[in-house]
Amino acid sequence: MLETSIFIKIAWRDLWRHKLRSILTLAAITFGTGLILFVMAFARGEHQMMIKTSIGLFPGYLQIHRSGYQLDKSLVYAMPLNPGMMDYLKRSKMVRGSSARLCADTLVQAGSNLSGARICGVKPSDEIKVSKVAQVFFPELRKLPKGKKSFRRTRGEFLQDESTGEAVLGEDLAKNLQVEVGDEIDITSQDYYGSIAAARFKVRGIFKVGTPDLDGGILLVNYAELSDLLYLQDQVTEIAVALKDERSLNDLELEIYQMVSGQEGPWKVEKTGRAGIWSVQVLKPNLALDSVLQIVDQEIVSKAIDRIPGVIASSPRVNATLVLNGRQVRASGINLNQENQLSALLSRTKPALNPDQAFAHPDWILASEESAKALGLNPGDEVEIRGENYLKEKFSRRLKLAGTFERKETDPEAYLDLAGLQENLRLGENAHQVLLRLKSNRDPAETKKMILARLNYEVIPWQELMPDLVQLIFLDNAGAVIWMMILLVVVAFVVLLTILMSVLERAREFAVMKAIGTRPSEIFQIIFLESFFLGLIGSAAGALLGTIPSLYFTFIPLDFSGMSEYIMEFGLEPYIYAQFEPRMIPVSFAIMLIIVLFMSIFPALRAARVKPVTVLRLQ
Amino acid sequence: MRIRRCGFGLIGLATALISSGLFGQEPSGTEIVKKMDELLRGESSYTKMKMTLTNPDWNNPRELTLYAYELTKEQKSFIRITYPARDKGTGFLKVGYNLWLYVPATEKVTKIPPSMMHQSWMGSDFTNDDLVKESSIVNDYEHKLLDTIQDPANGKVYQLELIPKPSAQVVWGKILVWVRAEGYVPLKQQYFDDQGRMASEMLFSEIKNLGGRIIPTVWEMRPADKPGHQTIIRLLDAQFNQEIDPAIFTEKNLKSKNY
Repeated sequence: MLETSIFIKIAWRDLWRHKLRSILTLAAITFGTGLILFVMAFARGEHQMMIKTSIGLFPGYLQIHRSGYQLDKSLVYAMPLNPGMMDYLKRSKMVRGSSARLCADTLVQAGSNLSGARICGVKPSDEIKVSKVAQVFFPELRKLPKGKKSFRRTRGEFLQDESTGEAVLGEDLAKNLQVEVGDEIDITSQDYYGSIAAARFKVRGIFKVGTPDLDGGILLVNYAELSDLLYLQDQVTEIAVALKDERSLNDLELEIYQMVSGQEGPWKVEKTGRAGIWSVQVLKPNLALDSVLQIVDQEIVSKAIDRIPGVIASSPRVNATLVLNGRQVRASGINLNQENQLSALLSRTKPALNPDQAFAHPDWILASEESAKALGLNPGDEVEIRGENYLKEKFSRRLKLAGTFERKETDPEAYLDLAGLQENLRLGENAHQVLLRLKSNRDPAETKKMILARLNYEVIPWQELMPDLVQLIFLDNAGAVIWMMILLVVVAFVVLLTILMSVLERAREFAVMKAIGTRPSEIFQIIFLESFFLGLIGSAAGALLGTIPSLYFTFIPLDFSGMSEYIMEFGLEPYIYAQFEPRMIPVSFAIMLIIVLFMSIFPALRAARVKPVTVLRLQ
Repeated sequence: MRIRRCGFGLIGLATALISSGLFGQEPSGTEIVKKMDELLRGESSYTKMKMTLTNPDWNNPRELTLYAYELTKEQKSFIRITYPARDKGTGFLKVGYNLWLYVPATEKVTKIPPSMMHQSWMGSDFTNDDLVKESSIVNDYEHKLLDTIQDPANGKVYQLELIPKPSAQVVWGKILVWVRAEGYVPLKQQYFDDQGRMASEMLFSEIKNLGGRIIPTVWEMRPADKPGHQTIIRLLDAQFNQEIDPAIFTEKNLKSKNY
């Protein structure tokens, strides 16, 4: 067995025997690596810019709402403006600015021109810290690269903190209404109670930021004026927050939930006697404690539960006192799969039931063992339930007893299908109670606070505020990846071809080596080492080569004025910076090295399998 | 329909005699619905009403009073709100499928665009669309008499099923109607969506003489998807088939507040 260092020496010398071939291969590898790195830096820069600009225009890095608002952006989900929260946001080191807004859909009219828009009441001095729509009015706040002109423009001025009955709107909206700075517009909206709310404003400023959504659909006025108009004094619908660094998004989200966790809200959250299972009930203060109308929209509460960390299962319920074959029982309507995940109901049920068959029809009922015994019922029997809904209407239904269950603390005396009971009780898609199973065994008081915070508020990150943007970035990334793949395939085949050529050329050499006793594995090693050297040198050079333009475009933007239409859709300026990150060097280096090594396997095998007898005889 | 009623009156009379009088049969579903519709609307009407809106999120119900003029044939109606002070003077004008709104605060007449038609009307459980919709309960549906019920309070009650005609542009998949046989007074209507789920329910009660007709004077609207919400309309005054000044149904009148 020869020493490895000899093979290294042989491989190295082999490379320089055919200088031109090696250099060409090296060039392919270098160029490929450089391009990979540049594409990465460029895509990253483009996305960062898209994110920064789009969310900076108006939505904010995250928004705080009362839970439910994200599903239905209606005044019904307005929340009291919590001074503690605003103070906290002002003090937080992660936050650049925060703006509490009251927003509603409205009709805007000027003369005979009519247009729909979203009107937002804002505090001007706060809004300037959060959104470009406000910042664009102040040239000193705009940082533009030398020699570049922004297409963003404004006429007039932004709002002032004093209420003056003035409004600021987008250029497209102004064009639709045919108004200029100084003209009057009338807005017609519906207040919190649904009554018609109308007011007249004077146009103080007109902005163009580039996105049709904002330029054509938004109107800003002073908070105080709009809150009076909509009968929502001291109430807001959203708090938009701008961060100093996008990476602190999750930290801030957690901190906000932590900070509001002291509030109870219209909920009763308690730990049940069973480990890890919590009960959430609705407790609206304007209704009686035991009112049948203490209900919550299933969709809203399930979205809130999705935001609670560590929830393994949840099960919504409607609860009612029913008469089962003449005997009063407490019954719950459940979604069987969800309840089974939560409390393993079917494992306590006799006889053993196949959920797909036994509960295919919604006319099933499960009774506790005691109730079934007291009523003399056996599985398979038909039973009658009777009850009364909140309108005092009576209902009755015939059901089939699917089985009996062993009752535990969270169980009522009978279970039946959720949708059927909701219909009987005329409760729509609402639930009285939701049971949760949580993973952690944290302190109960802390857990309760954590649940309450997410039931009362929703903190929505930009990814959810702007799903279109996320999709665009995804598509764009996919495009870059495909581009890179094509490039890599080409480079890979170039490498394969050169190595293969050199192996075929040297068939005689390998035959002689074999004839004097070199093992196939040693020949394989030599070829593999040759490619390793090529890969190593090429990738390293390529990484360096790619860094230069990436770094250059990180500081000096690439001009895209030619295709500004597409970019302006997202409110971007028509120039793009690349964003070079040091970790891109090892990544592009590794990708290329792996490809080169992989592509050398076949030629190396080919060399190792040379048959000395055939090759030497043919000469 | 109207032409036949006028031009072929004799035939209509004969048919009525044959169907109900001579053979002692029930009137057809279509006849019942037509008579019920005619009872509540007439050729023209003037009504004054109080609306009570209940929402479980509010501490107290809200009340509105308003009056309305309607010309059934021309599909014109006019509504003016008189209470509370905040909404006083707000007016609505409907001509055909168009709806205009007048707000005293800005003294502007606004035509409500199609996108706002499905929004709640003044916070009630009616939508703007409900106001504008031409009463197509007679023409757009097939009427089937499902059952005749004996009710201790109302005597004989017809239960009808209304299925939209294939050509009709209507939102409901089905309407169930309960009508008192005596005087064709509606008692209950249930509206179902395309999937057969109940969307809303309207209950009629306190049947008494108002404006010379025996009509229900309390109408209760309950949406099925929002438990606890309801809108109660209480008729305070009603006149039917009176001359109505056509000038009422103009944008000018919306603004001038003469009516």
